[in-house]
Amino acid sequence: MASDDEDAFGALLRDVEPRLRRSLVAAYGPEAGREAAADALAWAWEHRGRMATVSNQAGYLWRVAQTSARRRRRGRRFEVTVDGMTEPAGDLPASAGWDADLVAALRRLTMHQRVAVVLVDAYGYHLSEAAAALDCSVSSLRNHLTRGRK
Amino acid sequence: MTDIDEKLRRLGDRLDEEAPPISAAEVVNRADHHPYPRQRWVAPATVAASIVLLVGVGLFIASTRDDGRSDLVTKPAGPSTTATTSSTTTTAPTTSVTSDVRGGLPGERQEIYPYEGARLAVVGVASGDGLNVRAGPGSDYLVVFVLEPLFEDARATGHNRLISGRGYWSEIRVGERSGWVNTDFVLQPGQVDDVTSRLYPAGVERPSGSLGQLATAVATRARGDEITPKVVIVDGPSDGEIGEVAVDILGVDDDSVGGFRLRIFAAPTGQGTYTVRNVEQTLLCTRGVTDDGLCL
Repeated sequence: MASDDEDAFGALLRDVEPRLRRSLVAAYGPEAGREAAADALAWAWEHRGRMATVSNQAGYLWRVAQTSARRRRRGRRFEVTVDGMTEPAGDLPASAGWDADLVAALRRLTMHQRVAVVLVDAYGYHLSEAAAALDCSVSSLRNHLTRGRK
Repeated sequence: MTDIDEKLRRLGDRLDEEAPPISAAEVVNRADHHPYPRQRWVAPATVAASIVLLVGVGLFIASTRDDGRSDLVTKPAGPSTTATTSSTTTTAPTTSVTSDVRGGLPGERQEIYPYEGARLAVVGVASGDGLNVRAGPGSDYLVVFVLEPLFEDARATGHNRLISGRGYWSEIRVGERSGWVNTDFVLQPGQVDDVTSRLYPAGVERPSGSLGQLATAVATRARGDEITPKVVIVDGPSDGEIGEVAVDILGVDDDSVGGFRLRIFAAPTGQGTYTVRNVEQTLLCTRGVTDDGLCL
């Protein structure tokens, strides 16, 4: 890896990786979410020239990760459930060490609501940081957050 | 800090334990050994199976009437379903595959989108069908491989041709392989949004019915005043704890937006019926996509 590339990509990782990984984990569960994040970051590495011109790299890679995430979750059930306590594969597990009520409540949210609540309330990101991660406006993020918190 | 705040904070810590940070080494190793995207079409066995199906196992290619439908392949397994909003039934092809590739390319080269490097998604191909990628621009060229209805990772080479009476054809690349597709069936995917609240704001009743009916209802609501869009079910319907169906709405009256892909998630209400839960929309762009995912 050339030094300049390494430095630039290192900076991208430091800035983007935590939010991207946490957003995707909130959306798709620990395993699928981390895999989707790793896929998106591998794509970013392969297209590092283009990434250097992107202003919102976290949001851009969030969209890139959706394709990977959908491919991985095909054959699994979507995380939002209606009746509550079942555990689709790849989802937030309700086994030992997890707060079952909280996990069930998060599962009842839409993906964007769940990610907004987790980023802001669980990880403490500012609204602007969470909005950038979801590649949406702050007002949209507020809507997701308000509905999710209800 | 309230009790719920504390629980959420602990959840965040636990999620970080379950999904630890991704290092630069892991990223580079993944890129080197498993290039993104992980395409199902590159495996030789998959290609061989596709060719065997196409040539020797009674899989029909569409008729020589080259209106774009001739690029669709009807696979023997799985029914193809189309929404009833417009007539988009797959033709019943009977012709055999031609094996010769003519020297030179027909038609005229066009300096037009999709431009080199543009990411292309297959669009408007019914669930159960496939999009032929051919050795040259035109349906009388040999099929070299087939793309599924939801494939989103082809790249334009920038070589586009107008074939008289047969429309535009674009050369694409998928991994190490290349071929030609009718441009009616590829667009550039843009941003993905949850449009549930926009389509069904508070106070608006969400539709219920079979997944096929929901696909039609949501597509009808989403297309607004579009008069003659093309609506095709491109994935599903899939029954289960959460029903899923994906619909392409194409032919919208806009130079930059070629259409929309709606992925509908629905909650079961019993006896095979569902109610719309969420709708995700992917913009499908004609000319290009901005860094923000909007159509140029």
